[in-house]
Formats: sequence, structure tokens, C-alpha cells
Amino acid sequence: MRRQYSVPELLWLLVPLALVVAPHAANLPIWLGLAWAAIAGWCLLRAARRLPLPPRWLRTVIVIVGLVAVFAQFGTLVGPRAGVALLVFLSAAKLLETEAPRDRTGLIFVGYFLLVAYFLEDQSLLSAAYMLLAMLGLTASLIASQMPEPKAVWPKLRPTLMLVLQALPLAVFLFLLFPRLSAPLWTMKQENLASTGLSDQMQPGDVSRLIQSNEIALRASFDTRDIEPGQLYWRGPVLWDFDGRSWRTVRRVPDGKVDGEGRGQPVTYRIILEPHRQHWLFLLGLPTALPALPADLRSDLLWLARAPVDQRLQYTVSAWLDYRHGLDLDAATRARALELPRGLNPRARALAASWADSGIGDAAVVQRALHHFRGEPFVYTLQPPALGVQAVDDFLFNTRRGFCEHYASAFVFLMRAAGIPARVITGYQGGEYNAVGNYWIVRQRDAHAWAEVWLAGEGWRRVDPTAAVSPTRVELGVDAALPAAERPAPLIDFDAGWLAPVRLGWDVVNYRWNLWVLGYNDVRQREFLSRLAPWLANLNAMLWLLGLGSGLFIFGLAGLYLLRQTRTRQDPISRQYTRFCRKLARLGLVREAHEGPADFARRTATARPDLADEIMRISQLYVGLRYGQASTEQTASLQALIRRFRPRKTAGTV
Amino acid sequence: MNPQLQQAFDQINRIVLGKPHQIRLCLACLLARGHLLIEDAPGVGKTTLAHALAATLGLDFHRIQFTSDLLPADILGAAIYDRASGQFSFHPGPIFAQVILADEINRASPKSQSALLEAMEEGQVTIEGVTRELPKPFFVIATQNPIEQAGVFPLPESQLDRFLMRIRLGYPDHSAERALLKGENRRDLLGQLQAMLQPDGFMAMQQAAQTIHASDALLDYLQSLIDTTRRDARFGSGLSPRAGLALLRAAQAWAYLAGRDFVQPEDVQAVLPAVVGHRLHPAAGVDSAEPDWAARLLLEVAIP
Repeated sequence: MRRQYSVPELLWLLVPLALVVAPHAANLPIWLGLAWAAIAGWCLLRAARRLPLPPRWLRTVIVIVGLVAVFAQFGTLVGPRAGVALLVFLSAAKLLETEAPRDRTGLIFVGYFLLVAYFLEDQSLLSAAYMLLAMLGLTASLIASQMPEPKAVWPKLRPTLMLVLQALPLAVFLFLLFPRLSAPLWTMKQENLASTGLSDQMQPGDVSRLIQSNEIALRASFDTRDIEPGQLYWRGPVLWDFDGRSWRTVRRVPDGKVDGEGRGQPVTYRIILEPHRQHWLFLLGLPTALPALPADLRSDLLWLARAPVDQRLQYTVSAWLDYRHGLDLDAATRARALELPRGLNPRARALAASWADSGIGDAAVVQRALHHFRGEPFVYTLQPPALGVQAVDDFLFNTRRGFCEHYASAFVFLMRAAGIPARVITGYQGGEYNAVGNYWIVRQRDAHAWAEVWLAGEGWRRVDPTAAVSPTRVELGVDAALPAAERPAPLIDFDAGWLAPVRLGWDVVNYRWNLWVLGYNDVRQREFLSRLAPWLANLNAMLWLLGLGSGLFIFGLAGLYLLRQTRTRQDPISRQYTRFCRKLARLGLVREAHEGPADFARRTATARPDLADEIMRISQLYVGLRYGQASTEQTASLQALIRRFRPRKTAGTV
Repeated sequence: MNPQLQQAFDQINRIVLGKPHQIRLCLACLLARGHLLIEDAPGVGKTTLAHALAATLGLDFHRIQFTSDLLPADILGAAIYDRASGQFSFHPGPIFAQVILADEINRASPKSQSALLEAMEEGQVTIEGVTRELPKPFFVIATQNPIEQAGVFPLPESQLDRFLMRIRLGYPDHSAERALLKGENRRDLLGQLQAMLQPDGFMAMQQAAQTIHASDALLDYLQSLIDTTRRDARFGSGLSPRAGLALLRAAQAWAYLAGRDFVQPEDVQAVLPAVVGHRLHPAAGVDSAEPDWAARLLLEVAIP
């Protein structure tokens, strides 16, 4: 069955498909989107003008050209991007010859597939809402393909909404109960995903570049409200090696296990880490309990995942915020923590040596150095002047203007030069407290660098030289610490008063979405189910309930539907007649729904002359009772007749 | 069936060969006090059927041949100056009869059509300010050629609604055609017809037909038929309450013809195509060449 679609009918197909293709188009080469739009436009023109189909050879050529173009663009036809590109192109090519209803249905199903495929790219709440809209469109389109009148919109939307509403409880049920695997069945490599964030080395200017970005690095919530921003040093890469310009982390850490002791009550916090494509997982304080992730905690308290963090990751940690660690320093580590490039920065070395030689002890030297930063006219600025080869000397004695990485770098240099083991720590400091959702939002602009020095009897101690120069940086955040003229443009409007609650509210919604929907993994599932009912939190119970529940749901809906169908048959007379019809149906004589009882009696009596008398008597009695004015006393005799009616299968000719 | 009715039925059946179902429908229509529209191609016996009905029922009968220049006065009559008495005297038109055969009604102008159709609805006509009762019973049997033929004014839907039934005769089957070819001229036979019923007797039957019992179960079925036409997107508009009443009256008359004192679903099914056929119209954009909407409707609606 082929026929040409009218413009409204075609729009029913094109608009939902375009809704699905549009978000993909943003990630695909531009020619593909243009080709899709051009073909769709041509189809509309064709429907309006009643033009014929393009010839078969032309369609074939278009398909081949498209396949070659996709292959040329991606170098393959498989893989998520290339596969989606291929599907998008083929959906356009199929439009060129869509005439039969089967083609149309097929296209709609391709649309559903593209819809799901988009979640490989983006799983945010907004795109989920958009995809829900597109899904409604596709379903309405599917319904429209079975309905004669193309112009009426509501008659298609109504059953669509009904369908989705009916499916919703089942979807929620399956979402909650379908067993989550601790490791995904397959991994999707995200292709050319650009991301900003800390790297495994630090040069002057690195952190100040990050400060321009409003992107979220992580969100964290605590089990206590008693948290000061000054306590929030989110520890990231630990940088050991200095080459005179940049600090680097090391692959192999100096040996030694994590040792340390905490003071006070440990806090528990949950971190939702945005993917940063690096290995480290940010920690706060000295952990007492780490979740069972495929990651290792090194002796320098750097927690490294075995695979780069490509997906949003959630973990809960208990830790002491007040702690000491690394009390014993072995020789190798000590040597590493004292190493400096030879022949660089003589003035800084001389200054440090003068402190060390005064014999005041290591702790006093640290204080001395901080005092130096406080006392000399150092300026905290995003726009430090360029530094020469003797970078530390230049900074300490000439420019005296710098950002946190300058201070951390110069401070650690001074400490090592003074013979005190020291290292640079990068990470994030502070964050924005979202009072609506009671959690902290840590952004790239909270990136920070600080130092740790090792003091005998005390272990590694955190020292933040930036705080000495600009205490507001730690107490109020980077915006307040910078001079007004230097605040990055995106940050100025960002905190505008009246928008702030809206922004924070929206972040709460996103946070919950990440936490409860995207982050609903095996651990959270068990946690959630055991809170519902402890016996639920094992795989067998889950599977049983899953099967039972979905079965009940589906049969329940079907039963409800049947009940509504048969509710009118509840009076005793028609129930008797239904029994009678069932008996006849066993002989292959099935009453059609539209067949009147007298007609049915005549037909069956002709088919089974041996039963004709009985059938006629029963039917007449029934018709008289149901349609005539026969007294209800005859109901009993109808019942008796029907009970006695036991036709044999073989007698007569059927 | 009532013996008198049976005789009438047999007599008409001898004139119009091979169309027992249509003849029954005609009788049911008249019993239900409805007007009848017979629609078919020329030469299939429309006029003969109308003639035979009138003659058999013993009613007086006028025939109006509708043409494009027919004026309302040609139907209703007019006051004409009488020179002898020096006064205007009313000369009744052909409408003053118990059975009117309005032949080829769709050839007349809409003005003349509506003159007739008003009379059908009111049972009276008003000419020059004087209202005159029409005789009782009063039937209009109209015939029309299908719209496809040239030079016609199709009846508007509101006027089609005035006819209780529209039937189609169709060609006779093989044996009926052979009997027709071998037999006497139908016109001659018409002259020999005897009245099988008296007007009073027929009106009593009409009364009786109206009292035929329709149970709730049957009304359920009737209503679900009507609802279906209203909900179904294939139909431009559903059946009106008047159409529903017409369906019930026709089914009662059909049951009366069968000699039953109650209506059963089969009665509704038998009359439904004739009653709703001219009242249901496919929605715009739906292929109107679909065969017989009424029959499909019957197949789709379950008997509760």
C-alpha cells in the first residue's frame, strides 16, 4: 500500500523526528544537519506540489554518498558518534522514499533509538526534560500514523499522555528495582571531551587560568552544618618535583604506608565529582573509612583511581578534619622533599639559609617565612608580571605580585632551601555553600595551591602562604580577595543579589538529579531498598519483586480494561447467556460481538441440527427475558436449561 | 405477521419482484409514520413500488412529477378567481392526498423542494394566510436519482433528515429479472390491485407499533451505536437525537411486522442501514468511497 502523504501528515512525522535529530546535530558535523534539513524541506515541497518520488538510482547515489561522507568524517561507521551520524543520515535518506505506512513506523522507531542515543552525550536534567518532550512527539506521531485525520492535534496527544502516564509508575518501579551492576556491562569512551581542571603539574599562570571558569568541579555535603570555609582544603595532586619553573607530581610515590592520627570527631561527607579525566579523587582531611572504589590511597594522601574519571562519580568518606600524618619520614622521601634544581634562585637560597643558620628551629623558620610574606609589600593579583629564569628570586625580590601558585611555589622553595621537607599541594579551597540544599558547590574558580611542610614530631603540616598575604582568600573566597578591577567578568554578575536564590535553587535540583537519578548505582540502590525494607536489599529479593511487580502491573492494567469491558454484563441473565455461548464456542461456534442472539441461534442451529431444538429454546427464552417482557421467574428455567445443555463435540456436521 | 399486513406484503411482492427486504422496510417506514426516500437509477421500479404501496394500503394517492420549473403553487394549490361566483376559490394542489409520490424530487428547485418538505414536517400547509390540514395518514414517498446524474439539486442534509428511511432497490436478481421479462406489464398489474387495508385499520397498526416494548438492554445497544458515530473520527458528525428516535421507531415497526411485542437487536440491525445511511457522512479527508458505512458500524459495535 503506497500513497503520497499530505503536508499535515508529513509534518506529523517530520516535526518529532526533527526534535530528536536537533540536539544530535549540535555534536555532529554541520553538513549532516544541513543535509537532513534539506531533505526534510524537499519532502515537504514534494508533498505540497505532489511531485513524484526521486528515481531509484538517485536515491541509491544519495545513500552511497552519505555513507562515504560519514566514513570520511569519522574514519569508521561504528562507535557512538559515527553510529549516531549514520543513523541521522539514514533517517533522512529514508524520508526520501517514505510512502508506505511501514516506512513511517520504521522511521519513528529509529527516532526512539536516536532519542536514547542522545543520553550517551548528555544526561543533564534539562536534556532529559527535552527528550521527554521529544518522546511524547514521537509517540503522538506513531498514533497519528494510525489515525485518519491529520489536522486534529488533541486526539493524538491525549492517548499519548495517557500512555505515558500509565507507563510512568512502571518506569519508576523498574528504575528503583532493576538490579544495578557495580561495574557497567560495557564502557563508552567519551570522544574528544574537553574539560578544564587541575593537571598533574603546576606552572605560574595555571591556577589563575582556572579561576576564570565557573564550571563545577565537585559538590559535597556534610553530615554536620558546623563547617568553616577555612577548613575546606580539597586535596588534589601532590607535587614533589621542581625544575625551576614547574612543579610535577610523581608516578611512584616515596614508600610508606598511610599513617596518621586524628583529633576530635570525624565527619562524614559525600562528594559528587564531575568527570575531569584524571585519576585523582579529591579528599578532605585524613580518611578513616574509604568506600570500596577501584582506587588506591598513597602515602602522601593522594587518592588515585585506577582509571581516569570519565563519568560523574559519587563517594562517601569519613575523615578527621584535624589530623596529623606522616610522622615518620624515611630517608628517600626526605631526600625527595628537599630536592631543588641546582644553581637557580641564589637570593632565595641565601635568604632561606640565613633563617636556617640563625638556629631558631624548623617551626620558627616556617613562621619567619610567613612573616616575610606578610611584612613585605606582596600583592595578591590575577595579573602578575612575567617572571624571568630565576623565577623564585624574581618573584620574591622584584615583582612581589602573584597568585596562589606563586606563593606556594616560592614558599616551598624557601622551605626546602632552609632544609625543611616541603611539597606543593593543589586542589580546591572553600566553595559556595548552598543553604537551600545544604551542600557545598566547588567550582574551578576555587582552585588553589598551598604547601605542606614536615616538622619533626608533628608530621606534615599544612601551610597556606596565600592566606598570609590575603587572609580574605581563605575566609571569603577568591572574589572578595581580588581587587575589584581584576575580578573575572563571569564572576561579577554571578552573585547578583536577586538571582542568587534562583541559581542556588536550580543547582539543588541538578544536585538531586545527579545524586538520586544519575548516581543511583548499586550502592545507593541497596541503601535505598534497605531503608524501605531490610529484606529487600539482596539480589534475589529484588529480582523476585521485580518480576512479580511488573507482572502484577501489566496484568492489573489488562484486568482493569477487561473489567470495564464486561461490567455491563453483570446481570444474571446475560451471565447465563455468556455461559451458553461459551459452551457453543467449545464446538467451534463462536458468537461474534455484533451478532444478535436470534441470528446466532439460527446460525448455530443450522450448523448443528441435532442441537437445534435446545438452542432455539434457550435463545428464545433469553431474548424474551432480556429484550421482551417475560417475567423474571423464567430466569431460573433459563439457568436450568443452560446447565443441562451439554453438547457433544462430534455429533452432526460442523 | 398480522394477516392483513401479510396479504398486503404478498401483493406488493407480486408486483415488485425479488425485493422482499425493501418492501418490508417500506412497510415498516409507513408503520412508523415516517416518510420514505427511494434512491436509485432510473428504471429499477421506484415508481412502481410507490404505486403498489399506495394502492395496497387503500390510501388515496397523488403523484407529483418534480421538474426544474415546478413551482410551490403547483404542489400546494392556489386560490383562483371564479367568474361565475365572482369570488376566489381555493383549488387544492396534489399535496392533498394520503400518499404523495414525489417523483424525482431532486430535479426540482430548492424552493419547491422545501414547500413539500414543510408539509411533511408539519402535517399542514399554509396558503395565502389560511392553514389547511392535510389528510391523515399522510405519507410522502419520494424518489430520487443518485446525485451523480446531471441536472439535479441534491437535497440538503437538513431535509434528508426528514425522511425516516432511505432505501435503494438495486437491480433484480437473475430469476426475478426472468419473471419480470416473462410476466405481464407492471403498469397493467397496478390497475388490478386491491386495497388490502383500510386507512383506519392502518392507523391503528401505527398506534400498536409505537407501543412495542424496548428493553433497557436494547436501548444500551442503540445508544452505543449512536455514541460510536459521535466518537468516531471517520464521521463528520454523529447521529442526532432525532436520528436516534427514528432508529428506535423503525426498529419497533420492524418488530411489529415480525409479530413480536418487543424489539430485539436484530430489528435494529435490519433497519439501521436504511435509517442512518442518508444521515451519516464521512469526515472531510476520509475516503468517501468506503463501502457502506452503516454495515461497518454494525460490525464494529458489540451487542452488550
